[in-house]
Amino acid sequence: MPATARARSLALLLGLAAGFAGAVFEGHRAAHYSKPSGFRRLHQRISPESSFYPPFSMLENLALARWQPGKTVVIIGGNSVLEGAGQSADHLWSLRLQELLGDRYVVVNLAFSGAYPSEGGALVAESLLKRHIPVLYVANAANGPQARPYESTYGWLFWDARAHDRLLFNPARTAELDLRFTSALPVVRAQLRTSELSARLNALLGFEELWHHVAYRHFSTIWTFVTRDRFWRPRQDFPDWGPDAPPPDQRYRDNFDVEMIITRGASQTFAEPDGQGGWRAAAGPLHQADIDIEEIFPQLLRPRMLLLLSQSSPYYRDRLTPEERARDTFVFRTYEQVWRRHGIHAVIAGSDFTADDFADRIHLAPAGGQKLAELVARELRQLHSP
Amino acid sequence: MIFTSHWFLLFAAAFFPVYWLVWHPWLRRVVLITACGWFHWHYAGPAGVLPIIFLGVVTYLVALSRRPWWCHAAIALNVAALAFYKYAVFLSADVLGALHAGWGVAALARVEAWKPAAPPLAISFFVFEFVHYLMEIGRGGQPLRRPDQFTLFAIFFPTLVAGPIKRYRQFSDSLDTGLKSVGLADIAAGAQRVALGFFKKLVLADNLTAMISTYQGQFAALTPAQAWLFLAALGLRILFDFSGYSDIAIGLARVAGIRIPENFNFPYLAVSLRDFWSRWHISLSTWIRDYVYIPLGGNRHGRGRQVLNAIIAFGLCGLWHGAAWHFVLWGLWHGFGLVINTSYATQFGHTGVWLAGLLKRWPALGWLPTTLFVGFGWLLFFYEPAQAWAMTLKLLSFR
Amino acid sequence: MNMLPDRLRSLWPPRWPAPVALLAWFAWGVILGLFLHYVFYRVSLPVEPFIYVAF
Repeated sequence: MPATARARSLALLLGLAAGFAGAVFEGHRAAHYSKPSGFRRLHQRISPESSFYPPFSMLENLALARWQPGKTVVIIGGNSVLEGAGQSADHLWSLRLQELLGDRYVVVNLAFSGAYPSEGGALVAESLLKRHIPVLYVANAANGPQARPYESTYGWLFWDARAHDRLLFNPARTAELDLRFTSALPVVRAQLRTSELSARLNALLGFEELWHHVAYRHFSTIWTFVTRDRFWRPRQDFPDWGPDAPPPDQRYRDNFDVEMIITRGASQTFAEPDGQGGWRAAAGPLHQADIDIEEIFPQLLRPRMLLLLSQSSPYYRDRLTPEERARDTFVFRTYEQVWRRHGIHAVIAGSDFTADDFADRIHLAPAGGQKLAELVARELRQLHSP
Repeated sequence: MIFTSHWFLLFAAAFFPVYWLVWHPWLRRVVLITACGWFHWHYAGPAGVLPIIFLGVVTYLVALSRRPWWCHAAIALNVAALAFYKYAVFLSADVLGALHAGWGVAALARVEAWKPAAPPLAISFFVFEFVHYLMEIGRGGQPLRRPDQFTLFAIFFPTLVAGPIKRYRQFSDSLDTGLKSVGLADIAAGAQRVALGFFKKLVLADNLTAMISTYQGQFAALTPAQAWLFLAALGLRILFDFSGYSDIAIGLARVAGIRIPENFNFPYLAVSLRDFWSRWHISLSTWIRDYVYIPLGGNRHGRGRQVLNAIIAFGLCGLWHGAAWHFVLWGLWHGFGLVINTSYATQFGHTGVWLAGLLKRWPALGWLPTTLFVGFGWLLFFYEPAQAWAMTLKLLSFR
Repeated sequence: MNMLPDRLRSLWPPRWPAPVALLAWFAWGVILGLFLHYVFYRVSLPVEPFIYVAF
């Protein structure tokens, strides 16, 4: 006897409920096991550049999977300089850092192209601290005010971590966020509420964890220019194709004027002449940077942080006027002290590097990566001995 | 984009179980009205709900009077509101400004002082529904007497934002049926329809959008095959996007037990332009036919008037899609195409007669010219005329 | 697309015994449930949207 329409409908709806519930269940499970394999860094094909937005748990799993009691996790955050643009996967500076630090440390490079020190890796470091896992956090920053972790491209990681209660207690950050929820422009408030809602829904339903796992391991459903030829293939099939810097004689060829403007810009708005031939810090950015650092970084994380203020390549710095160079030096030293005032160990990185150490104005070639690894290893050992 | 948001999914997950479990049709009606109001408030904002409330109250009360002249006045009010919110900038800058730059600048300054930053949510859709309603009442139809009936017709959330454009009598009858007797079969059928809509929109259309966005800037550098694939992608994208949205709307209504007429019927299988417009955005094309083309006289006043009426109707159809000249040109493209489609058999001598006979025998022969005509039309729809022309030349040159 | 679910339904051979047909519908429901879960993921992706919508 054929099934009645009512029975068919019921079967379909029960199946729908079962399918959805099963997906929710598997999504929660995936939060514990899903992570990229053979991981070295968040290269183009497992990052937002190819519409892949790894959930917070995926990043944290990279550290948790390799950590063992007695070891210290070194999380690398920051932007493409620390992500290793200009170094191929085999010549990645963080691999060298791991070698230098040895077995007692687990180095995990979670830097994202264009990320701020407050984003991505910083949040993973907080979560590990919350789990009472020894952690050190390395990031780089530009001079001046600092952006909040929920303000930009990588904001989803903040909301995801917050919805899963993975963040450290930080009353200044909480107060600032509450203020934004109530008094920012309507469009900003709407954006914040949308982000928070999505993260809370995900904490309940586990869709980011499940479908990013599927996209990494089994198949992708998103066409992007970066993966255009085989966009349906799982992201694990796409290697890290980040190239090494071109040979030294092929670097620094293009956009000289623009690069000089940017090099000057690293200090231009942060200092003003003091009328006596020297410089003083511009009060506005300095004050804002103080507020930002205080609100962004929890107290517990600060003594475990190494903050690098990345210098530009001497190819451009050497072409600054003496006045500009003096201002540049002044600003970098000033902001080094700003970070240190807040209990964060800041160091200017790259001042003694050569032009050949750089791939371009700001990114490091493999040789520069080696030097960076040595600098970071040295500073981390001063910061912490296990 | 409203359906493809977490807020909406959460809203639907909260609303539908309450709607199903509340057993009494009147309670369901209250739940539905509340949900529709909440939906509108959330997406339109406090300022955005005022125009629909004002125009809705006027339309409802005028229709109750059943006086044709009052209906005409209310139609004019609705059209004026649409013109102000949606077309004032275009009319000032692009129409008046084209005649005299100074007038355009002055008019634009006035408009921008008065006009809100964003038009009221779904104004293109609810104004068209109100105009339909008033036209039908003006012709002797029975108005919706109860305010709850009219309210639901006006702000029914599944169709509010992107159609289909409803007909009040069909909707009201279907609403009454759905409220009384929504059942498992409706929920199952509706859920499948919603899933189909999301598949078309999220999996097909959004990926095509990514491809189109990537390659449109380098169109001139594409190979001939790639350029033609781009044209196909353009046509498929808008079909999947638009019909996907309609599927979601129809599916959501069906989940509530309410039947909404189809809006797309495999339009790219059309074998003539007339056939295409009976399959593409059906609710709009029938609205244009019933409330623009036929009132202008249709084909009842000779060949010349018929041509003019078709051009005007489709020009306005194009303008409805967006306040810019290339939308108007797209509408005129189809208007002229339809004129030829409906007249070639009698106006082009023996050739026309022969062609008509051939296509009557083998209608499928009409598929390729129709598809090409519609495809090139999409270039006008999406790009400024100069760019559309350049792209057309590149496609036709096969270089 | 016109009444696709009804057309699909009409394709079922009526001689299929009820348990088989119901199992098939259940399985189809599971797929739809998985897809609905996927929709939550997909709508969260900040991919560039197609922003034409007649407002």
